[in-house]
Amino acid sequence: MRLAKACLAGGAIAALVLSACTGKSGKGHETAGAGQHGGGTLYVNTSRAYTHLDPQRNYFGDAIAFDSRTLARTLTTFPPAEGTKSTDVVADVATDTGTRSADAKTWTFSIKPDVKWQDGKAVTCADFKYGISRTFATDIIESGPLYALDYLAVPRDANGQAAYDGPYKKNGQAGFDKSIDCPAPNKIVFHLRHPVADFYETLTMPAFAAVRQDKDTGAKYDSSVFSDGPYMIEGKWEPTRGGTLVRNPNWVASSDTVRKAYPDKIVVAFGDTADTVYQKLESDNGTATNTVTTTSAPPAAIATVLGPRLQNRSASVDDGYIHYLSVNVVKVPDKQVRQAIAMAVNRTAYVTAWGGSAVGSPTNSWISPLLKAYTKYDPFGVSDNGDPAKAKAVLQAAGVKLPYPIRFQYSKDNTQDKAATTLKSDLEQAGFKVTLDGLNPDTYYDIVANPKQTAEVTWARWAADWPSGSTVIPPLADGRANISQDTLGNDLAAYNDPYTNKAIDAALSLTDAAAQQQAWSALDQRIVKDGVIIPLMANKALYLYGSNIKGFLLNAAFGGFVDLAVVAVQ
Amino acid sequence: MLAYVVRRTIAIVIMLFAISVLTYLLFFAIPRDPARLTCGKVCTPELISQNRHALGLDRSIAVQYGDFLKGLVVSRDFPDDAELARTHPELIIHCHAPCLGYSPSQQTTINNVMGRAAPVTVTLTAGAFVLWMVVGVGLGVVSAVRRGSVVDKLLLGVSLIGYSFPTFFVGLILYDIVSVKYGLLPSPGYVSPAHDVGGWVSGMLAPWITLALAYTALYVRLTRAKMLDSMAGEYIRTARAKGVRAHRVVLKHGLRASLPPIITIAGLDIAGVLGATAITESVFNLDGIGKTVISAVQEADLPIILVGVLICATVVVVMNFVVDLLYAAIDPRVRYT
Repeated sequence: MRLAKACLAGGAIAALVLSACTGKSGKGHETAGAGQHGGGTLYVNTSRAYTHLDPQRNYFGDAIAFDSRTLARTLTTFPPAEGTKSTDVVADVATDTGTRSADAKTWTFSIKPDVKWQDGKAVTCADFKYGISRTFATDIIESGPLYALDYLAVPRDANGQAAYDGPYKKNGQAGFDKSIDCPAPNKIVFHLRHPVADFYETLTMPAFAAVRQDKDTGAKYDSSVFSDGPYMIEGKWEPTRGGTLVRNPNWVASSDTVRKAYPDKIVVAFGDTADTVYQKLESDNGTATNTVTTTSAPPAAIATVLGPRLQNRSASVDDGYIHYLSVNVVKVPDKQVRQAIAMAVNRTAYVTAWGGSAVGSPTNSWISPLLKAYTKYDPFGVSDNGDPAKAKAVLQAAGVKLPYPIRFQYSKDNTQDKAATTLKSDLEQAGFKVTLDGLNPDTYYDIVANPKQTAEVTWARWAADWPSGSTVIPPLADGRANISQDTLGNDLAAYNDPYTNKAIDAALSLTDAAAQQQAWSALDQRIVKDGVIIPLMANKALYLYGSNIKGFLLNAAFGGFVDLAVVAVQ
Repeated sequence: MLAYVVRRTIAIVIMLFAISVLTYLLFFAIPRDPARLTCGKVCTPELISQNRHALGLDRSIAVQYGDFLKGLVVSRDFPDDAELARTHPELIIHCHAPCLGYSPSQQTTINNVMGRAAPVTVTLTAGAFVLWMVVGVGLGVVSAVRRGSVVDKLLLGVSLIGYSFPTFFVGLILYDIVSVKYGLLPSPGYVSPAHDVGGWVSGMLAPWITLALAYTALYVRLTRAKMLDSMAGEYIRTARAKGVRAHRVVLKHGLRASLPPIITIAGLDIAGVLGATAITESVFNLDGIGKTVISAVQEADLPIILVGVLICATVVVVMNFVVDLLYAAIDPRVRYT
């Protein structure tokens, strides 16, 4: 499970997310006027290698942000803008954000003229159709997002799975062909098997980008992505080392209202430790002056980055991640006991343990404050500081034997140890006996998702794939999709509530986007008030960049990573 | 002697076989499912089991291990999928024998992965070895000759401090502070010495120093102790009495007698230094065997882990063997039958 392993200093594992910037982000953006800052070489120095550059396999925010701005254009995308403005999806390759049928099951797009591959051929509907078909070859194009399998009106097999195994083996090709129509080379029609009110947002993911069939190299495509964006790979991309991008000579600026593409060249290098990345940026020597990173500031660097010397080269952004606790409903079946845990928790102390207001803010909602589905609410009438006395009263009223024993699992590092200790003391004041169980980050989600090994309370964090509650509530709280004999999937609370499941189905079938977001908010509140999920903190990411960088912008919609559409070097 | 070599070689092969079996068993005991890693954030149990099949992980451990052994003598195809080979032969990756396997995370054969990583690790270790032998033994001799002097005491003190610093600490200081912040050392990185010897030396300087520091300190003390032993010998007094010049006494008579035990230990240390090599590679971002294996552990990439462990094990047992043979060659009193 990849809820968010980004607890590591890498910070590289964000899924695509939206969010609002804090005041400092995007500073200097206005100064990067068109044409003023063209040329030069931009360096991207990042600790953890991008997992995949192949658009259909790309599922992590850092790589999604990079791919989307350089090599893989999509029908729609997020604009380079500050805060929640970045979540207002705009047309990219398409002429507009699509025309939908009344039932939200048929979506039609037109492709702009002059959108070209790096060899000058036009990007057509067939290329998008081929790209999307690759997602179905899950044994070769593995680890990507699978929304296409669920959404497209491809016939189902006996198990209810899409009866198509991708463009390589072509079993079920005829069924797939009917789900995406190409009435003309520049026209694309999607047929969905159920209403998807926010499908135009789904299409922002590189998984829905075009791939040219004659350039596809299957599992090896990561190192040779064929570009329809403003840049292309020079020589070979090395998945663990990085590579160099140069201008795509066939990219037509007028076909692209999103990307300014200022630098002539982008050099990406992976593998330095997060501390070294920041040491290089702090010293600002040599190529470091032209460097940006997708590695957020490691704990040791935070104070320096926020200090007066570097303030004007740093920015932080709400990256859309929510930290939360899951209370296992099988192990803690009593609702009052779960609510007592929720009331006792001191969110202010939790945020302080993580590094204070620069790295997060307390929240009561499982849905990020930056999503349209967010509602501010106070489930238990306790402040951010929690109320152990009130919690104790509820616990006593539940009639359980005190102290009530709880094991708490979390992904272990120095910061998390501190945060866990504050939670333990909150809970013990309220009449619990807490055993801390810090687990190896590499195998953390495997253990907490194992029904035999998981504890009463587990830590996790999650970010939405696009700015909709559809990518928070169903993947995390639908027990039917998550729970099997061997795993809890993403549903660490083992929550499989018939009412909630029914409400999820009802919300997914809504064709009115606003009503749908309200439905997600209602479910969020229901689950939180049941004490199943205890939201703690809305995460922020902090970055430093070189002194020659102009127009630095953190894009909340892309998980708060740097937006290469507008970054320039002086 | 020949019988001894044959016996030892057979024992080495058996030992490596046992280590590889153990690595396989340990990997499957890790609470981590490589098949789970092949699908994104939202993954259904059906898809996991389908990909487990595609990865060949649903077969018994014995069968998988058998495939690995088979690959050492015959070529393999990845993925081993007859249908795909028929429809899209260009997507199949061929791995010629001896085939060490295929890495899902690096999307290439282990032969390629290790072929790229080995020169980094070999030149890192070799350079550090030369550095610590020359500097460590040299200063050890100086220390012994000037026994009790200020120089001796200083060398002993400094070597104790040098020996106490952990490799990762020295590495971070050299990289982040000395090299990045103050620019006193060239920026570290690996370029092949076949292309650019100067670039290779300047890029490897900081890693060499990092790796060699603790060993240099150790060898100063080791050489000093051995030298003091041999310099106390009767034949040294005889040589001096005969009027042999001082530096000749020290180098020819004293140091030569001290060398066999030092070389023996050095042979074993080359094998033992692999752990520190992995740390040095990680700190300096050198894609050697150690760093490759560490990231393979994070990605649950069994084929790389397996081959990495086998390479380390081979180096250790072979170096032990070589040292034993060397001992016989250096010291006429030792004979193997």
